Amino acid sequence: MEWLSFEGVDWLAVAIAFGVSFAFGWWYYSPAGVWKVWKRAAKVTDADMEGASMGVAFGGTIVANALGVILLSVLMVRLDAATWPDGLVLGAMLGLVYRAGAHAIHNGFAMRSPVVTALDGLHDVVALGLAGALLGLF
Amino acid sequence: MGWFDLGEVRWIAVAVATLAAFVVTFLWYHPRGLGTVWARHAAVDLDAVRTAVVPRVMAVVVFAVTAAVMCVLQAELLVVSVGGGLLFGASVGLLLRLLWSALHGAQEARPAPLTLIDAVHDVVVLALIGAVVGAFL
Repeated sequence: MEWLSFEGVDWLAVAIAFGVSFAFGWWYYSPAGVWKVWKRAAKVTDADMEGASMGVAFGGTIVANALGVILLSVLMVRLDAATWPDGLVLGAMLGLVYRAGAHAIHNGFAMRSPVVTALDGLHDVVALGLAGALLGLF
Repeated sequence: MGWFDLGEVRWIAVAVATLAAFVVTFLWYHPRGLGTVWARHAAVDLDAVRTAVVPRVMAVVVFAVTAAVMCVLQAELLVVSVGGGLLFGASVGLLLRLLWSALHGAQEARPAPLTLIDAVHDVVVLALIGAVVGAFL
């Protein structure tokens, strides 16, 4: 686990990248973003949403986003991916392979709409790519 | 982009890791594994899943691309042992998949067992891919 070292991590950059990534997700899944299309494709009803634990969802978003950005930062330092294009490509690649890939497999077997996979996957690729680019700027 | 070198990819490792991940996934979601519970919570007809070709092809492609990326990352990070690869894969799975699966599950009010089955599967598969890649690097 020698790769898992926080030496060289710029915590200010992590905080900014987390904030921007989080804000992007907030907008993306809002009515101004893709919310209506996503909701229809995911067949999620208002009654379902009332049953959702928004506390867990909100807290989980913060924790998952923050840990994802920290991991990305650690990898960028260890890989010497020190420019914004490096960060953009690494973040987008991690989002595509590790997150969008999981959506494709699980949603595929669960016979869910490909639109859900595309929207969730696009969010994850952009969110991590954006975070990587910002980390690279620092 | 000095960190991204496709020359680091060991294609035999990609093939073995893809096969291993597919077998584990098959057993994981088999009716004698967690398939029956998963299908009930996902509200999916297991017979329809059994005959679905596209998700299987998609799984193979995703596993192969994941293994190739793991080769590049692990070679650059000097994660070149079975144990190291296992821990690397599990860490990435935990931070980039399990947490996010839990998040999406909570947001969509999906049944917790469904989220748990999918998320733990991802961690196990990524740990396995990391271990196989580590063995070949």
